[in-house]
Amino acid sequence: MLEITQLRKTYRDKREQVYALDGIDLAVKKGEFLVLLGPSGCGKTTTLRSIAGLERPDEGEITIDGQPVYAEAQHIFVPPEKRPISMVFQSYAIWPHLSVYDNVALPLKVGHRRLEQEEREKRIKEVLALLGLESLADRKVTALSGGQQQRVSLARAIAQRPKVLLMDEPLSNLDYKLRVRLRSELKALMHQLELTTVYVTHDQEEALAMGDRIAVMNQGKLIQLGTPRDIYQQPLTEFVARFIGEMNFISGTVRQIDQDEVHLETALGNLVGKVPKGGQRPVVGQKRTLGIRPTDIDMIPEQTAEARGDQVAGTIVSAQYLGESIDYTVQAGPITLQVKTHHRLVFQPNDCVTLQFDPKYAIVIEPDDETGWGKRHE
Amino acid sequence: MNRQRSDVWIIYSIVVLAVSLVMISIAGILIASVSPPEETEQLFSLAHYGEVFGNPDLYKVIGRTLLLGLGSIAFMLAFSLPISWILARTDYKRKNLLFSLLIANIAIPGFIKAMSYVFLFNPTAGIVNKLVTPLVGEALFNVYSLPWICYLQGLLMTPIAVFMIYPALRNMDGSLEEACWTSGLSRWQAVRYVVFPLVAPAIAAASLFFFILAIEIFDVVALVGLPGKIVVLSGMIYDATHPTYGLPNYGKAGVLGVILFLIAGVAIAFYLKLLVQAQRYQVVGAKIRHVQQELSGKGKLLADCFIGVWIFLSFVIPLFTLFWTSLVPYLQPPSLKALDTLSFKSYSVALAYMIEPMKNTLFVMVTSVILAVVLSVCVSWLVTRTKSRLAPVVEFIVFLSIAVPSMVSAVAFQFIALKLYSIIPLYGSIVLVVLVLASRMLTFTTRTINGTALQLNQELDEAAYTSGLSRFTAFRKVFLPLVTPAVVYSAFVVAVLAARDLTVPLMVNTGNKELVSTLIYHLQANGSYDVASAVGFYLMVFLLVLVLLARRLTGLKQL
Ligand SMILES: Nc1ncnc2c1ncn2[C@@H]1O[C@H](COP(=O)(O)OP(=O)(O)O)[C@@H](O)[C@H]1O
Ligand SMILES: [Mg+2]
Repeated sequence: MLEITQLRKTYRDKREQVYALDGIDLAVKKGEFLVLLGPSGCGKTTTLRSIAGLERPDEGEITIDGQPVYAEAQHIFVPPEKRPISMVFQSYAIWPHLSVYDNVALPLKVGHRRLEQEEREKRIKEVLALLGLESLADRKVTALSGGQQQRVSLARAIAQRPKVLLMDEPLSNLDYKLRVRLRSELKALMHQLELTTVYVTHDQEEALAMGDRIAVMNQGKLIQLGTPRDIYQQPLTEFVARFIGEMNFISGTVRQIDQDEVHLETALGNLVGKVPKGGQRPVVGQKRTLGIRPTDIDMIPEQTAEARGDQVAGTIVSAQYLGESIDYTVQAGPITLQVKTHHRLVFQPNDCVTLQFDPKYAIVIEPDDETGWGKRHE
Repeated sequence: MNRQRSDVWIIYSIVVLAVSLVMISIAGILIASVSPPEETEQLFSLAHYGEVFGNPDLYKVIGRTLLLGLGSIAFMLAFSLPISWILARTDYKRKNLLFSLLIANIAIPGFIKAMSYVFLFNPTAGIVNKLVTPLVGEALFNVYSLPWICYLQGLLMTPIAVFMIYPALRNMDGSLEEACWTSGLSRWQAVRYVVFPLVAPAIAAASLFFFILAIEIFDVVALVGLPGKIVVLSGMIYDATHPTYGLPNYGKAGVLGVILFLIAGVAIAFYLKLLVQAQRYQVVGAKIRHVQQELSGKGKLLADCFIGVWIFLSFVIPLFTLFWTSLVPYLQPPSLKALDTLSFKSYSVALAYMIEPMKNTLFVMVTSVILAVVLSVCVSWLVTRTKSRLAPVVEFIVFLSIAVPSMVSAVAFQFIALKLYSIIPLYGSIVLVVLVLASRMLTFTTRTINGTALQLNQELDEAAYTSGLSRFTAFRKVFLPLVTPAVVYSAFVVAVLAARDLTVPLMVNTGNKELVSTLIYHLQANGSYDVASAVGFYLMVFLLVLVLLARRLTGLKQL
C-alpha cells in the first residue's frame, strides 16, 4: 500500500548538515498497523511528514497504492491535499473556531475530498457514532478535554477514508491511564476499519502493544523492521535491545558454531546463544556480544552440586522491590548483571546465588558502533 | 519594620499619581463640558451641550469623523496586511531588509509625509499639479479631501500596524493549516476556511485600536483638513481652543471631547471583546509550528512589486519632495530655470531656527520618558507582584486611558490648569505637553512592562523576601533589573513618538515656546517651504539615529 525507497533528507543547521533521514526503505502492507519507533530526534516525524507531503525530501521515492506521490528523479511531488492520506497531529490541530461537527465536516464539504451532502451527513454521523462523539457534535472544540480533542482529530482523519492514515504521537499529550486505554481501542478501531496506518511514537511499550510490525529508527536510519515479538526477542543490535526494554550484554569471542547455536568464550566462561532472525552469522574467532534479558536469567540459591556448563556463580549486590517483581543487581566475576525475578523469590544482599542462562533466549549479536548498527565488518 | 513600610509607600504614591493622571483626563473633560459660560454665576450648566448639539452640522461632522476612521484603517490594512503576511507566513528572501525599512519608516513622522504630499498635490501650488495643468488644462489632484487624509493616515500607521498584526499571523499554529492540507483543502481553501477566521479577531482588534488613533491624531488633519476646510471632530476641538480671536472655549471643546471619548470608548469595548476571542483561539495546541509558504516565481514578483510600491509611496515621495523643496525658494517643478536657483541656504537658516525648539523637544522627550516609565514600572509592580485587591482596579483605570484620545486629555489638562492657575501656574507651560503625552503612553508602557513581568516567576520575589530583603529592596534589586529590557524598549518608543508628535504640542497652548514639530508646521503654514523641509530633514536624521540606537539596544535586530 505504501512503499518508501531510499528516502533522504538533510537540514542545514548553520552550515552543519543534519541528516534527518539517511536512506529509509520501508513497505507497509494493506490494512497493516505499522509503528515507527525511535528516540526523539531520530527522524520519525520527518518520515511521516514526507509521506504526507508536508516536507519535501531531497532524494528517494514514495508510492501510495501504486501511485508515485514523490519521486525526485522524475520531479514528481504531489501536494498533501492531493495525496490519499489523512493525518492526526501530535497537537491534534483541530480548528478552534469550528464545532466538533464542523471540524469533521469541513474536509468533506470543501477541498479535494468533498462529498455530496447526503453522503457527507451519513459519513459524519457514522464516524461521530464510532468515536462516541454524537453528544458533543455541537460543542466548541476549545471546551473539550484532551482525550475528547484527540477523538475529534481522529474522527476528522477517519471520515476522509484515507488509503493511509498517518499519526504522529497522537497519545503523547494524554495522561498515562487514558493512554493505556486508548492504545487497544485505537488499534481495534483501525483493524475494524481495515485502515493502513503509520503510527509514530517514542514509547516502546506503546509500540509493542499496538504495532502489527514495528520499524525501529535511529539517527535517520531504519535499523530493524519486524513484529513486536521479533523486535523484543530477537533484536539485531544492542541499540534495539536496549531501546526496547533492558538487556544484559556480555562480550566474548566465537569458539564454535553448531547449526544455529553459537558458543562464546566470555569472562563468565563458555556461554551459548542464537543468532537472531536476519542477523549476520559469525565466523569462529570473531568478537560478538551475548545478550540476555533480565527476565530470562533464572536465579536459584547457590548450588551445592557441581555447576553445569550454563551455570554461573554470583553475589547479590542490591535489590529493588517493584511490587510485582524484584530487580536484582548481581555481581558475577568481573561482570554486573541485572536479573528480574518474581516478587516471591527473595534474596538478601551478599547472598551467593547460581545463575542459569537459557540458550533459547540468549542472542548473539555484533557489538554496536554509536549509530546503533552492529559493526558490519571487522 | 516601620522604615520598610514607608519605603513601599513611595511606590504606592507613584501609582496614585498614575491613576490620577488618567482620572484627571476623564474628569477634566466632563467638568469642562458642563462648565458654565463666562458671565454666569451657576456652578454648572448644559449651555455648551446646547451649543454643540444645536449645530445642525454636528451630525455630519460625526459621520465624517467615523468615515475618517474607517477610511484610514482601510488604507492601513491595504498596506500592512500584505506586508505582515509576507513577513510572517512566506519564505520571502528580503525579509530583513523589509524589516529594517519598516523600522526606518518610523523615523519619518506622519505630518512630514503629509506635508510632502501637500507640496506635490495641493490644487493651487502643488508641484505635480503645476506640471500637469499645462497638459490637461486643470489641476488634476486635490490633496485637500477626505480620501487623501485617510490615505495619509493609513500610510502613517502602516509600520506600527505591521508590528501589531505580524505576531498574530506568526503565532497562529501552523499545524492547523497543515491539517487543512492533509485533509484535502487547497492553499486558498485553507486560508479562507481556517487561517482567515482564526486571525480575523486579532486583525479586527488591531483595526479598532487604529480606528481610535485615526480619529484622534491631528497631525494630518492639521496639515490637510484645516486648509481644505474638511471638518472632523479633532479639527473642531482645535478650532474651539484656538480661535482666531477671543478666548479658547474649553466648554465647547469639552463637549466635543466627550463625544470623541464616547466613540473611542465604544471602540475599546469591542476591542476588548475581540481580544478575548483572539486569545481563546490560541489555547489549543501545545507547541506552535511556524509554517512558511514557499513563494512561486510569480509570488516573489508580486511581493517585490507590492513592497516596491510601498517604498515609493512612503520613502521616495516624501524624501525626494522634501529634498527638492528644501533647495528651491518656492514650490515649483524641477526645470532648467529652477536649477539656477538651487541653494542649500535653507539648511543653515533651519539650524538657526531650530536651536530653541530642539531644546524644548529634548526636554519633552526626556521628561515624558521618565514620567511614563516611572509610573508604569510602579503600576506594573503593583499589578503583577502583589496580591493587592486594588491591583485589578488600578490596571483597569490605566487601561482605560487607551480610550482617552490625546485631543481629549489635552483639553482636560488645559482646562484644569486654567482653573488652578492661581495655585499652580502650569497653564501655558510646556509641562502640560509632557503630562498629556505621558498619560497617553501609559497604557502602552504598562502593558509592555507587564508582559515581561508576568513571565517572571512569583518565587523570585518570595526568594528575596525569605532572604531578608524588604519589599522595597526586592523591588529595586530583583524586579527592576529583570524588567529592564522592557523598560528600555518602552523608553525608546515613548521618546520617538514624543519627538514626532504634532497633535499634542499643537493642541496645548505653550505661549511662544515651539517644539521642532510645531516649528515645521508653522513654517509651512507661513509659506517657508524650503526651511520647513530642511528642519524636517534634521528631525528625521535625529529620529533615525534614535531608532537605530533603539534597535541595537533592545535586540530588535531581526524577526
Ligand atoms: N525544520 C528543521 N530544521 C532543522 N532541523 C530539523 C528540522 N526539523 C527536524 N530537524 C532535525 O531533524 C532530525 C529529525 O527530526 P524529527 O523527524 O522531528 O525527529 P523525531 O520526530 O523522531 O523526534 C532532528 O535532529 C531534528 O533536529
Ligand atoms: Mg517527532
